[in-house]
Amino acid sequence: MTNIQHKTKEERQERSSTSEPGLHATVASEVLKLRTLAFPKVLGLISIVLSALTAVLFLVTIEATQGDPLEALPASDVASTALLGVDATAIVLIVLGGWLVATEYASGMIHTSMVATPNRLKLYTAKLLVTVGLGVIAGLLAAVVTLLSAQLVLIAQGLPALNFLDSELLRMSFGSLLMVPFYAILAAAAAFVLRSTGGAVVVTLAVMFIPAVVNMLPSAGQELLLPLLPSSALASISGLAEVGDPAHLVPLLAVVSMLVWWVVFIGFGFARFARRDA
Amino acid sequence: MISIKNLSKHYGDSIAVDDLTVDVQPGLVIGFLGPNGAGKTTTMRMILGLDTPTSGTATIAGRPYSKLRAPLYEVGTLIDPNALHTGRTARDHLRWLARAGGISGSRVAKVLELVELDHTADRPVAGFSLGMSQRLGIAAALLGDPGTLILDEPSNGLDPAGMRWMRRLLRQMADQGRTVFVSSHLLAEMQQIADRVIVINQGRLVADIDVEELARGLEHVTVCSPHAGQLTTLLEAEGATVQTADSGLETFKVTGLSAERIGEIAAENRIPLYELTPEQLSLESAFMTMTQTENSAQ
Repeated sequence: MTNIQHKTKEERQERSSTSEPGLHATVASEVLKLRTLAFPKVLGLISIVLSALTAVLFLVTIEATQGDPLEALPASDVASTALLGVDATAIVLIVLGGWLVATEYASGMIHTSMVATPNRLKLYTAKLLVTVGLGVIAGLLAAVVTLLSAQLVLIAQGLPALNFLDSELLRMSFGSLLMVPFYAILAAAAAFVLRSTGGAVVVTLAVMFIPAVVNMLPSAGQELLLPLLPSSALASISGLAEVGDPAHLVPLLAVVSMLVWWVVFIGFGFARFARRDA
Repeated sequence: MISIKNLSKHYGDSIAVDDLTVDVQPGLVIGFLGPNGAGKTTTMRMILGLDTPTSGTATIAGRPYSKLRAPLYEVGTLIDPNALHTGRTARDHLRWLARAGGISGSRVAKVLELVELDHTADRPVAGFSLGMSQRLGIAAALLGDPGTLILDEPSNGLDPAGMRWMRRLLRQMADQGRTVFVSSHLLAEMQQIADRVIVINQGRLVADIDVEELARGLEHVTVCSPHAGQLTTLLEAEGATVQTADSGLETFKVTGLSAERIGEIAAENRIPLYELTPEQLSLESAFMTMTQTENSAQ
């Protein structure tokens, strides 16, 4: 084996007194981690393909689920049905968000990450920023792919195409897109607490699908609980929850609700990560 | 310098590290020894900020690890060579580490060549042997060309040539004035490379001693005499330590006095000797004696 390059103590001291690697370096290293593994790429691809397939499936079965044939439905209903494909992407990104954190605990690599970046707030922030970035990209791609899929289905059936510049459609797309990074962050934060992909996914899916349980409660219970749930906030932002719905929130309250959920999950996740032994 | 002051780590009622105080000086290879479960890895993890001490402090050049400005430039560590994602290549593993540490990407190729992984650097780590993973861990530790090395069992899995290389590397590092702190179960290996050893057992410091001084303490003389009791009293009065040997009440081991001096004392007091055999204990035997003595004392 070759010899070590000799450096004087002064040269080493001079170099080590240079600037501390900033958050951008930590984020860049997290992105590089992502880019150098096959699994996240495969999962990302699956999430987009699944969004398109889900959109097409819901559209071709729309008469069975909604009672009316496709040609009888307004554009907004067609769009909102297609955008259910984004839910599929959100579920895949929940898995990815949890995995990005939990896999480091499973392999022991978290120790290497923490030795490289001993500032736990910086490391935590970097991982969440990468997760949010992935979620935004996946959400955007999923929204585009699902709407294009809807367009193809409509054209194939000789029906009027969707107007992609329609404000209602844009608002719906935005709300759907937002779902992806929102839940991906919850999963990542949960993974810091539970140190398990499975655990993080279960917790996040529970938050995502709690409305299904709440909807079984008497209306008083629904009116009390539904506005507190992130699904109501997302539905309100996207315009799917109309005034008078128990799930409806004014836009500002909807944003506050989502931020509160993020703060609780992210805050708890960091509190555990910062204090616990690696 | 690594400075450990009154460092303790408790897990509920279990004590992993118990009021440990040692300094690891630069310019020396310091061996960190102890049986399994002694607290060596826990101590190293606390130095690196991976685990929070129950009490006490551990600092590197006067600062906790978490406060180091550019940690990978200052401290190179190898705690677990298998702490890798097996789907990643060796080169990519070092690339993200370099990026996180603000280290130039050109160092990656250099350290890979140094540890002779340059030809396999683009293979997924899943196909690596233990020795290759160990060398990758060493490459990661050297990435920032740090002034302090903290290595947990660095020779594990290395072939004889690799172990020779490791000894040379650690010696070079220490001779350059770096702090080299190495834990190992390979006591014979430690005997060859360490300048000083810190021995812990059940979380407590047992010995913090130069290897030369330890070597002197490893010399003992086997003595057999029909007047063992009388001779023992005389030798202990001279400052020797006497331990009864397994072979019988008339046979005992003496440390702290040379065979010549023991012979003189016996002759002066007209005590016949059936055996007077100087011997050198290995570090392993000394280690076993130290840790067993510590266990008995508790």
